[in-house]
Amino acid sequence: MPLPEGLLVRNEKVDLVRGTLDMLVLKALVWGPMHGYDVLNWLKRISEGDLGIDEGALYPSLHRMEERGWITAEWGLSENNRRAKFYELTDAGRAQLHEQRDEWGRYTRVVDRILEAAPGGER
Amino acid sequence: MSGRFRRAWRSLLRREDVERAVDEELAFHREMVTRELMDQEGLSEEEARAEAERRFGELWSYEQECLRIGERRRKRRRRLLWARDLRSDLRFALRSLKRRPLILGVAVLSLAVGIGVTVTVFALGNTFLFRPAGYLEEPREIVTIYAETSTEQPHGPVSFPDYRDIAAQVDALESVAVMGLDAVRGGERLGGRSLLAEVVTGNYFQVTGIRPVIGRAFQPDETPPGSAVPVALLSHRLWKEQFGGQTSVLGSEIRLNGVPITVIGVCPPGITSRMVPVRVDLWMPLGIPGAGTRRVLSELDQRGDRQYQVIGRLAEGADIRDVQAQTDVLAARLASGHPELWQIGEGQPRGFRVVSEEDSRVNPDARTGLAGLSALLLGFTGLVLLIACFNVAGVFLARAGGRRREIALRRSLGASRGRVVRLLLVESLVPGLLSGALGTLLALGLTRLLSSLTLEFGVPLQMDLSVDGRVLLFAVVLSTAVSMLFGLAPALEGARISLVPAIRGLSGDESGRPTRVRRVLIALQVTGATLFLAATGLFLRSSLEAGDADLGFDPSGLAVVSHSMSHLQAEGGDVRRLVRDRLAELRSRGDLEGAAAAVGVELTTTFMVRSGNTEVADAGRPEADRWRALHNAVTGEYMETMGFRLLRGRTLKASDREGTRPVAVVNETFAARMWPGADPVGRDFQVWYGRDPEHTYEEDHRTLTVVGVVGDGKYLAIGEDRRSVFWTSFYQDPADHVTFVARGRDSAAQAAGILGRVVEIPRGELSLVPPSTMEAALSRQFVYLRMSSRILGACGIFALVLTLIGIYGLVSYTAALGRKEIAVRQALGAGPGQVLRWVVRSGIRVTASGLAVGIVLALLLGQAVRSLLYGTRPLDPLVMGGSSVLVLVAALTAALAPALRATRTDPMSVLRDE
Repeated sequence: MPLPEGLLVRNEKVDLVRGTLDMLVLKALVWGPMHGYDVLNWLKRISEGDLGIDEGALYPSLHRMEERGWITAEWGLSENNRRAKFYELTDAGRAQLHEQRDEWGRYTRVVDRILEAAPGGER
Repeated sequence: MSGRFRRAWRSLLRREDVERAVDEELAFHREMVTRELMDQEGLSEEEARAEAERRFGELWSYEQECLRIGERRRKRRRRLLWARDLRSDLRFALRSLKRRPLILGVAVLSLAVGIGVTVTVFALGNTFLFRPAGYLEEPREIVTIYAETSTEQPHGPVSFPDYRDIAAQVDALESVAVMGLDAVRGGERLGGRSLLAEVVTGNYFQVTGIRPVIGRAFQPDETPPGSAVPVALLSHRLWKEQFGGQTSVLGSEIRLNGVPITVIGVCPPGITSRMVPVRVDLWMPLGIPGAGTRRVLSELDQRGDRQYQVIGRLAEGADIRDVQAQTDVLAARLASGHPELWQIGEGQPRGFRVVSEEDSRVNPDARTGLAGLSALLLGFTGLVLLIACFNVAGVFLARAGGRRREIALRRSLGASRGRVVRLLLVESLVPGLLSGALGTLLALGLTRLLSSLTLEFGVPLQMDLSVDGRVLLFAVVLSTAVSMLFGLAPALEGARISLVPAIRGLSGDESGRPTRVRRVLIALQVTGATLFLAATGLFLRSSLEAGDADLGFDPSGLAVVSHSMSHLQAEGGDVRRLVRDRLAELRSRGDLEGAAAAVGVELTTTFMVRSGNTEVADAGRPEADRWRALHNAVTGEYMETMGFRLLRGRTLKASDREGTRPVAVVNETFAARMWPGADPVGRDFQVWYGRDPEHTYEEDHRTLTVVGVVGDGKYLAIGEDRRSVFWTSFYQDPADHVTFVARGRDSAAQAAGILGRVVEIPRGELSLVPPSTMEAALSRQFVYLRMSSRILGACGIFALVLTLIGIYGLVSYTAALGRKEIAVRQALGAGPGQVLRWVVRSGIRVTASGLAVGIVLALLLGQAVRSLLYGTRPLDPLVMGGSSVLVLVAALTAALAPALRATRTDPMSVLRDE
């Protein structure tokens, strides 16, 4: 899992780096099987619209994770009775989510420490 | 894996499925966003759709990425599935084969024999034609230089003076070595064996780059040609066999032809002679004085004595064309300096031929013949293999037939046609590879056997066959191809089974007759068996007939011994006196009816010594054409001892000696050709001995007067047509090779014993024929006939057995398919006889058609090999009739057992069962 190369700010919305999106999608699926549109809605709701992503980027992310075995997919019917592809977290996906979270925590702590450091290197 | 999951898995195995899924998923997303925008923000459908697309981002690139991922997954899934199916097919194949060990056994064994023989033949060809000489250093830089012997034999040996000129004048070669072959007799430490020595110039090891495994190569000062120091290197094999691989052999003394020689090294294993593909036992410098190897300086200096081969290593920057160009210049110079030796035919200059190492492992002139022979052998063994395949295909076809229900069930449960075909192919691959392994083991044994065979030609010649990577690859490819071949027919048939009737338990073919594929296969087997049996018959009859042939002399009671006397001649001895002394001694023995000597004896290997290129022409007509005739030189009483039929004039007498008028006796064919319709006695003819190096007359031809005519006989081969032959007096025309013949009063063995005691073979001389009875010496003439009929006979019996199994299988299969019909017929009152006829008929019909084709092919084959047959017409009715009857009887027997079983069918149980 590569570290995010940097966070970009655009129109006051946080632009996402690819790896981060994977982690957020995994998190969304913790609550149960969802199709892509649901995942997106959940992310929007939780982030209260502060997250700027191309909605389409979600799908390669989902497919890649399916390939890696973190999630599985099955066709089913949506609430309005249309055929939709539902994704479900696997055990490997759950483990992956934990790992990415830990890593994210370490990363932000380091970045925070640096950003809050006093001049001269002493706190 | 759960069923739900497996379905999902399988559903994405096709490319279109993957594309459709991605399209649908992305469309769904955009659709949902559009709807949400319309519902919640009150946008018009058009606006909403535009906004949804904006939010979605670059649709095309996301779609592409999804497709890429999907495609990657699809491929991996397919691979995994394929491997898993293969595993299960294999497991299933092993299980079902284990249930029928007899079928497996028969299939594997018959294929193993076929594969083993084919691989052996391939190994033979591989050894002679392809195998690289691994012991050479930088073989690309090595070239072989041949001299033209004749237009038919452009790659002949060179003489030692030629070699010297090449070494001195061709600077495109960095170094040049020469080699010749000699037979030597080893002393006590070498087990008294006859050994094949390569006699070489001192730089042989530098040119070839061969490094002794122990000891050293020759040093330049050890090897001046003709006066070399007595040293030798041993072959790896000889070292292991006679000295147990002990290093103490270095510096020790061995005896070759009685001369003490010091061992200085041992060569790496696997070196064969570059002149003939047989293994060499030791290496000696050219011409150790007194070692009896005919390489004394006076002989080496003869430009007409062509018996050496030259190899050279290219100088830096030079290539093979430079060498050819420089040797062309040399050849032109030689042609003007020695016109008598450097011309072939009328005014056509002899040239050198420079050939790369790769193309000269076998003499290029022999290469084509060898390749042809290998192809022929491969064709024959391939035919046997093909029959074995047909047979096994038949067995498997019967199984596929018996498994119609199982296959139909598989198909109805969703197995695709391809899947069923694959299952059946895998089932055939298992016995195929198994028999490939067995066949390779067999080939290993056979090649070892062949390598250990000794070709007795005075010197034991041994081939060095081995199974290398190329041969193994051939075996693997062959057995895979073979199993595909016999697996294909059943597999295709299995896939064709239609579902509904088969699953209901009815056979797809209501008539109860086996399918066409199967009938054709069996017919082909019958054809093959007939062909082999007929060929065997032809050769067998031929070898019987040959025993009664008119040879032109009477072999019973005769014995011969033959050896060269070059040693004696080289030392200035008189061959004539030696022969006279020996004959006097032989004739003093009371147990012999007669004794005489000649250069060679008709129909033995010795006769070829002198008969090479002799040409004759009528002396009375200067314009007359020259033509070739065979020639022999004989002492007085030779013709009487041999039992030639004198037709006119007189035979050659002891009084036809040196200094008297040169005379000749000719045979009927010679006389009829030279002087048609006239009495030849008293007429003169001229003879040119051509390029026979043993003859060095001052004049280029001699005139001979005919004193007698004898009846035609056989001279070189029993199967030959008429040949023109003339005989001169040995004392007027001596050679350094002599054969003594004697006729015993009681038996040939008695005469051979006396010859052995009186005619002692000088040390170091080559004996072409050891003391033996004429019958034994003659039998070489029959060897090829006997060998051919033995090999073909083995093939024929093998093919017949395979065919029997095939017909048995066919009839059993017919009976099984027709069980219901038989039962119905029986229920309607058919007797056992009718049932029997009905079942057997299928086998007989197939046999008859196969037989007809086989006989036609056998006739064609007979025409093709007519020259090899003696006294046997290719249309021999006994042979053709005999093999047909044999095949028919065999087929009937094979058909009878299953047919009898069918008559014992209990109609009630069958009908209830169905």
